[in-house]
Amino acid sequence: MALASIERRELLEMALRPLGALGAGAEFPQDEAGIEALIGRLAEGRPSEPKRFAYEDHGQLPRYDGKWTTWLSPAGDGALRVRQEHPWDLTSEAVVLHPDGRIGEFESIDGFGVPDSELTDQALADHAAHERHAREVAEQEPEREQQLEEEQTRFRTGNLIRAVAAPPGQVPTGPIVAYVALYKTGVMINYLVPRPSQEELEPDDPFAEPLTEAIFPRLEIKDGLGTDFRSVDIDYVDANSSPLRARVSFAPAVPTTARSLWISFATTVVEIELGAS
Amino acid sequence: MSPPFENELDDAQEAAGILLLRVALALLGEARLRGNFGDDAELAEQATALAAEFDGGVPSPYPKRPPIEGSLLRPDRISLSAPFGEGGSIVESLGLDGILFDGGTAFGVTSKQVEPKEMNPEERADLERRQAKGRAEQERRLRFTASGFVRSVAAPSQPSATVPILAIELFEDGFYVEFTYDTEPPTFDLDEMTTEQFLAREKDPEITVEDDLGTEYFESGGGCGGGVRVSHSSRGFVPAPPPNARVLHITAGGASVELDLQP
Repeated sequence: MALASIERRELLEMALRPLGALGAGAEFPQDEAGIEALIGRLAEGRPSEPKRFAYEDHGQLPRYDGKWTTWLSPAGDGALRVRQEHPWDLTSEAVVLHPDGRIGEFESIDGFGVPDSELTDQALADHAAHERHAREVAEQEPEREQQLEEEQTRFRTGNLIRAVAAPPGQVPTGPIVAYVALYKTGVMINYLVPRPSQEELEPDDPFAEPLTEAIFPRLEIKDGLGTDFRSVDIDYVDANSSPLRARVSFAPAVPTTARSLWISFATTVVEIELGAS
Repeated sequence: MSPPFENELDDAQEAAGILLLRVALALLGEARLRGNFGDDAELAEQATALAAEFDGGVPSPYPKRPPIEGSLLRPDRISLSAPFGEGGSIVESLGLDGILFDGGTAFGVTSKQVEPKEMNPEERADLERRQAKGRAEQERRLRFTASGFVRSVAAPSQPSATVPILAIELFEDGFYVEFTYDTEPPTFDLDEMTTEQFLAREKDPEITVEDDLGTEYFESGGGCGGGVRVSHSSRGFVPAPPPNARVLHITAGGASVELDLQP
């Protein structure tokens, strides 16, 4: 799909928010204080995907703060100009939004829209920050590649040591550990949790995630040796079943000298005897 | 069947997505003033009229569906759908606060009706046999509910196995075989992939299960997860091993492993 189209869709998605925040107002505000107040009333949307909005002066060069910001400015006749920056390549897509929800022509802006000789101090500063960020990203590339390689190969079969079953007879009303898989590079915890009721799975809040919250409860592991385990991956094994089945992976590896592994949920602790390695 | 990654489809999807959002903006422009999205019939009519206004009356890809379908979820929430291509639809839900949610793209399957072929008695009998077998297999599959967890049994270490068995998870009415195997990222570009390549992507290895009593086990669901270079899979089987079964032999990737079932 063409990038311009994706950018336009994203722009229109963002334009819905100030229109919604306008409420029963007849027109969009045409001054900075009014637009700032409008921004203050914007609905937040999905908490895990915060969107940034900011005011910009009408007629000034476009700002790029590197945060994928949607910039709002007065467009005259009660309309609002909505511009979204694309920080990776210093381009923008903009449109004029009228209070009735109609829009004008899409406007694609390359950089600041003027020759370099006409850049303002703010534009020069934004450009310099963009260049600096691009250099930092390039410098971090080898480290990122190494990290990716580590993540992709951590639980390959060559690193598998063995699996250990959890003890039977765990209380079925809470999380149950099924088994752990020990790797030279980490450990996978496989467990089951009760499925929430259908009522709980259909909350009023469209951004609530009751299934995810249920299937990934707070989980910590200890080996009695003080190893500092960090969660490195989570995975639905079966989100349609009842009980739900899931897996959470940790690194580093469980030391070969560890005799037991304690897996703690909010109200349950399960000890798994590791026996001889 | 056409490859699902064609430019024409992309263009149609783009246009449908933009149209849906333009209609959403105009609907919200009116709804915000009165504090609700009106009634269902009015909304559907308005969505159709706005789509015609914005796209110049381009006909819908589906003769029986308008270019944008609008329906009321509650007074302050609506659902919009924009069909494109053959069987595709973009869907979004919109709140009066201007927030989109539950969005996505769905691809359906289109079908063509063909005249049924006249069968001779032998062919008909063969078809009925196959249908009966399919029904029996389906019934067996549905028998595994995986609702009553009993315990897990870990497999012994298999250092040279290409498909190591990790464990089995025993339930009252069946069990899952948990296994893992290495994978490699596809060597061809998804955008350039043909239908044949798409369908021939790596599949889970075959798993067979036997016990010391000769019980016949049937596959029943499962799934896989993991990353781009390793898969961790779960394969369901019915029935549960009989209580007096001592061992389970599981074969995967050309190697077998024996699991001791005695608690």
